[in-house]
Amino acid sequence: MADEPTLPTLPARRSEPSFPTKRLKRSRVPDYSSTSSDPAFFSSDDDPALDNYQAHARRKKRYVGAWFDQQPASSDSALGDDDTPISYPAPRRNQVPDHPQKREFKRQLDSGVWMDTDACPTDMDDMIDLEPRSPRFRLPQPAMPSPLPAPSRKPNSLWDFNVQEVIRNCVDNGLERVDLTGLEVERVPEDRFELLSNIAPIPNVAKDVAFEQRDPRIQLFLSNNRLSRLPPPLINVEHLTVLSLRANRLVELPPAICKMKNLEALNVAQNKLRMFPGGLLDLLGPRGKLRTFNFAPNPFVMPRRSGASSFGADEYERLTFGPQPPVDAGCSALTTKLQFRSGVEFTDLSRTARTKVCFPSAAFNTTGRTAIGLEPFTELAAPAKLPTGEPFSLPNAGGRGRRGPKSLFEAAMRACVASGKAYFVLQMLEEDHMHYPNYVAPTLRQADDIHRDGGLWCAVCGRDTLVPLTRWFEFRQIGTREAAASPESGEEGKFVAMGGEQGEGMAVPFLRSGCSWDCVPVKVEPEEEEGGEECEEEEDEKEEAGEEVVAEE
Amino acid sequence: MAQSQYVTLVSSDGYEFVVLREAVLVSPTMKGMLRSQFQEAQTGRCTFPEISAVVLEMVVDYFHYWYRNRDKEDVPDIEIPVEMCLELLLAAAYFGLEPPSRGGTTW
Amino acid sequence: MASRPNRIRPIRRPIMNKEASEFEPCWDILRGALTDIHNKNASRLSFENLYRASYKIVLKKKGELLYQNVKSFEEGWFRTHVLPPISELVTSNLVNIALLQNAAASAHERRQMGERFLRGIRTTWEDHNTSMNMIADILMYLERTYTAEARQPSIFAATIGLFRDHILRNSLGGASDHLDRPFVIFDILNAVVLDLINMERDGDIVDRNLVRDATSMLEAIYETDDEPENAKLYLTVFEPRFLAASQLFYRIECEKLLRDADASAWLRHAQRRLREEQDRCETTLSLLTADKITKVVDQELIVAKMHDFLAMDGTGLKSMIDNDRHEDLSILYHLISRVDKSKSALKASLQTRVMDLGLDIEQSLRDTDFTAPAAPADADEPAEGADKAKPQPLSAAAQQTAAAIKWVDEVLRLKDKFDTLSTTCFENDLVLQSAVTKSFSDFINMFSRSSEFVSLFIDDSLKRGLKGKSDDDVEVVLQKAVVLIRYLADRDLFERYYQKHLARRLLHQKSETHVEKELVRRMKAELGNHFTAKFEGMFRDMELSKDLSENYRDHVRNLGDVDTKKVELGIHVLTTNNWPPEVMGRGAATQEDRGIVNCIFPPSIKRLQDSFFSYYLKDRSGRILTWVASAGSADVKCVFPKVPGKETGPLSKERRYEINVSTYGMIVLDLFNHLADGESLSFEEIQAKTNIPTLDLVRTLSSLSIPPKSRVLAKEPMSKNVKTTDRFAFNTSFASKTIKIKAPVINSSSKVEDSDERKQTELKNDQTRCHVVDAAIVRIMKQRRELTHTQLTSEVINQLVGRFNPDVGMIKRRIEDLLGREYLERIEIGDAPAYRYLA
Repeated sequence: MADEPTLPTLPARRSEPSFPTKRLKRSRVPDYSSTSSDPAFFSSDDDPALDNYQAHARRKKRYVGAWFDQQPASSDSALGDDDTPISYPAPRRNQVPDHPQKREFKRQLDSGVWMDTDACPTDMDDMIDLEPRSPRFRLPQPAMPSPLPAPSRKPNSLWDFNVQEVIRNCVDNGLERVDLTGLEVERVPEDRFELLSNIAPIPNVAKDVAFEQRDPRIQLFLSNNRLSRLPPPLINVEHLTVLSLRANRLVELPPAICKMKNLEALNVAQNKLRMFPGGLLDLLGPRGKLRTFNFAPNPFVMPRRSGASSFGADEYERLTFGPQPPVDAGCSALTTKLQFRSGVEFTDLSRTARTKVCFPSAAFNTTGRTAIGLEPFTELAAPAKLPTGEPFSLPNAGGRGRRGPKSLFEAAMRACVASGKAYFVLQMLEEDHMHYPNYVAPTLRQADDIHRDGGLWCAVCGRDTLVPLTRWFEFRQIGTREAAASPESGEEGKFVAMGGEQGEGMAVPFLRSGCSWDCVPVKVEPEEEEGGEECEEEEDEKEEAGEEVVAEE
Repeated sequence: MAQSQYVTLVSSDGYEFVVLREAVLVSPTMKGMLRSQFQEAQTGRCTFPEISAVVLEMVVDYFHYWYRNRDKEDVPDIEIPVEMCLELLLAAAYFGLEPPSRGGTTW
Repeated sequence: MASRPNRIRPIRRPIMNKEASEFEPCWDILRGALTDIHNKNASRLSFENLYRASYKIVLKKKGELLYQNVKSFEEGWFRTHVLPPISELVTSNLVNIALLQNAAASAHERRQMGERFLRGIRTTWEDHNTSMNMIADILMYLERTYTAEARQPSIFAATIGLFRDHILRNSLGGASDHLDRPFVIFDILNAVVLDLINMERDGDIVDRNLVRDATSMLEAIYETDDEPENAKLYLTVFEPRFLAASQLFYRIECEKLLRDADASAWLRHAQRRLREEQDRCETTLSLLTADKITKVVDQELIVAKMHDFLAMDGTGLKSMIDNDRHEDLSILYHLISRVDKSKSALKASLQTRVMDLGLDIEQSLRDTDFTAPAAPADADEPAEGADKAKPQPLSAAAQQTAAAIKWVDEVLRLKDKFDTLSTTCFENDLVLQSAVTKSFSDFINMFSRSSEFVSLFIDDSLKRGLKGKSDDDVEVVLQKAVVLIRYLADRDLFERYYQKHLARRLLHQKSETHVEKELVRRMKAELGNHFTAKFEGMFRDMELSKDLSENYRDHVRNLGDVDTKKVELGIHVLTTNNWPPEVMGRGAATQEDRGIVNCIFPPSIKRLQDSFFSYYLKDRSGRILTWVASAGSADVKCVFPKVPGKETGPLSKERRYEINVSTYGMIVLDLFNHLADGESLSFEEIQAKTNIPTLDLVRTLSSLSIPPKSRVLAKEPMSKNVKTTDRFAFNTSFASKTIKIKAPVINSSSKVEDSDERKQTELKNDQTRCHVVDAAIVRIMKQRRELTHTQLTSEVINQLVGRFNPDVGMIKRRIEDLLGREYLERIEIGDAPAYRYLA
């Protein structure tokens, strides 16, 4: 009924008649457009609340639920009835639904089957990085917009029009489910998505029903498109709870994804992701709400040695990132378990690595899977000297909380980027490059990218930074924590790794960034008495940790 | 020879700024200038024939800002006028006030 | 900010000659400055000017050119300005001395020349280093950007490296012609420094600062320009040579010390050398070397010949221990701790020494005579012979007691000695302490009579002398006792002796109860509950008996039965199991191969006994009391009438004495109450009338008829021994100065057992052990049901080791026995023989 969860059915249940097919859905769209009083452009009166005053004439008022699966609203739906969207319960895993209408399939948020029946004929489709199908709308390929496209509200192409249409429809009608699946979206003008923030559910104003305002729960389906990056405005759509980016061409996710605090389900399977940003860990940690996370397949970088020791992982996390809020054992939210860490890459302004460790950039395009050398938690290779000739020593444990102000360089860069004039400054730099240090332009470009992607926060001290100077990979398993045997004991429950499609307990790379050479992992003190064998093994690892990254295959 | 606590910075257009020596030392360039046996180290007077007073003033502001906040946490950003940001990027390079060094990020 | 007209200001370039920012003019400025810096004319230069020049060159992307130019400038400078003066220092004389170890040159000459050379090197290095620092400063921008990006060694490292390549590794062209091998300046430098260090070791005064400067220089120069931390020339070249030279030096020195054969001197020397080397690393060389060089000294001077030194006669470890040379031992301990964590050499020597000294004690017991020439301390010697050999023997028993006390004293003294060593010299080292303790335990248990001797010592200490002593003195005795007990392995044997001795002390009230109790409490803490259970039972019996006696006295008084011949009764009711069988009268009985014989009490006493028995049974029906006459005593009031014919002296009037005798004595004396004056009784008659066992009767009569002070019976014939043929009469002429007389109770004095007795004790002990082993086996099997023979044996040993060291043969025999009694049956587990418990 009304609270049909956001989740599609499993392939097995695909033919269940109660779930409309895509074709049915499509046929509904014009209905809505026609009843909407809005023209093709949004105006200030597209606030759905305003519509309520002429509600009796409007069809949608008598329906609740997503546009594809509306149900006539029951008169008492706002009060105490579980089935109303108002009290929509968060999907919980491993729990039998307490009312029959609720489906129990929650994992495959966006399996594609339902959304896109003809494109995904088998259960296996998530395993295969499919070539995009022939587009439904034949569109002229637009030229890539300039790095700083002039904001525009006019649809500049047919597919853009479609996108706008769908979004506007949702905003108009207070629909929380936004389906932009398979629209061949390559690069939508980013401000289109800003509109999503305007979606608000239409409160039930039936007679005898108490008025209740609730936060919207926006669900955005962007699967089967051609996005190569997450449209930055999405970061700021506060009430986005479900986001599917399945089967796009994403090569990275912005670190600022940590701002999407309300995200409960995220599907990034079938992309070109090499790694996740460290910021995603905020959503996967105790503070995050993420319950469903589809991340495979993707061409993730792999740890070079799968047999490396993960001794000291917990200690490392505690020392490096400070005390973590306890994981609510048994809660359904996802969490991660650290397996390994790579060596740390120390760079200077010119992005020259000062250590042997040197990572490829996020968008590097090798075809094969890349393996990253590991470093035991008891080691930490550091650059020997600062460029000024002064010896560099790593901060001690507890060196968290960076002290002192930012550099003048970074301050100037921030001023430049924040003004939105970075583009002009870059042009000036290029025209007159003989008078500037050659690293200024690339650094400024990077800073601008970071700024437009929503920012970057130092993994260790938490400051925002435009000039990350240290980077390292953490390989983590994603899963849940079981309830601890006895809650008082303070022990954490057993970690249960998520069985991704690529097998149990796959360690997923997260790229961590630090804002200074101070902001690095803390070296865990090795255990006093270790067996001789272990010691030998550690030495092996030491050798490997120093090596540079080599692409395998 | 007792060193003065202050040094004088002179801009290309002849403006003089008297700055606390300790604050100036955040810049490795200034440190090198003041520690060896060069002319500046003896006179405590540093002339910058290619830096205008406008820029040098901002740099001096930064010296003081750094000195005030060098041991504090959660320091607010120094305010930089946008139109000067390019000149200041260069000045930062000249004075070595870039990461990763003492004037860039502390360690 | 948005309100500002925020057009980004482009860089306003100063209006100046465009050429000024080209490479050539900038480099000209810098080249001039480099020369000035080398000539120490830097003070007229403007840093800013130079820095800006290099900064501009880098901005012009000409960093590499600048880098190369500086490098080649420095190389040129080296060729023209630095090398010539250095070459002059390397005279062929110096080469001869340094590399050929030319013995012709005196130490003084060598030092002079070496120091002059080092000074030259130092000056050059310092100049170069200063200049390079300044140059690196003005080229700071180059360092920060170009060298890092191009992954070049920093300009500083590169120019410092020039010193290595152009000075240290310079072979000086043909200067090495007359040597059969090529050499570089570095070789000479090393040789000179090592020579100076060896001179200092030999006691010369050298310029330490000079050496220090040379080594600091080597620490600042690296093998390669990327300056990996472990590739300092100091570490790669100098240190190995230094260590090798030191090794040689100390090996020779150690052999010399060995020839001098004075372990004490060796110890002090080694200690001094270690200190010197540490000091040298701090002041002259580098702390990096401190650990390595002390290892060399450890190895060459300490470990290599340690056993030779320790074994030296007169000064070795033996003499150190024997003569309490605490300082030597203390040094030795520190040195050995350095080289060997387990200190095995010292440990082994200490153990041997403890064993030897312990066995010496035993030996000396054998050799000492305790007033008698052949004190029967040794079980092999017949005690009887000793008795006869001496006209005035201290009784054999007393001699043996003295031997026991001497033994214990010696052991304790030895223990004190080693305790002192442990605290003053060995820092209470636990390894050594436990090793010494083990050796003590070993030799004490090798001495077959240790259990008995320890118990005797305690007995003696508690009986004598504790009265009136301060708590501290008592404490000392108690502690000694516990220390000794702790060493004993056969604790059941000790328990048996102690029980016997304690029984005597308690019954005769020879000691102070609170001290006894304290001692037992400590034993309990040390050895566990089961060990002291019997002793505690004994104390309990004593207390209950005291109450009982008083209650009985009240009871009698309340009866109003005023007997004229009132006999005061003090009674001890002893629980059979808690008290040693000897005391309970059974021991003697079995010894004489007879059933338990009750002696015949006089009727007056008999009445009293009946009366008490009926009183006792009032509350405790069903119990049996056996009167143990051998353990009791009595105060007998005797009236000696006036001896006729004596008008003066004590005999002239009637005398009343109160004599404390044993119960047997009382029975015997009572017989004489019924005799007329002048009559006498033969030994047999007395025995017939009293039914006292012969041995006890002999003792009783001896105490009443032989010592003059308690000679209330006259014996016929007068001799020192009581024979079964003797006759006894009332000694009417007895007189004493005191009213209260104590007849010496011969059998109450503790004494060392003779060999027969001891065999008896051991036999009995073995019997007890058999039961204990049986019990243990059954206990284990009951729990485990099935067990292999080996497992069973080891479990039994585990269970019993706290009480005694069970003999494997005994365990085997007991298993056989239990098999025979069908507690167990034989099975096999796998191939191993095993047993099953039969319920």
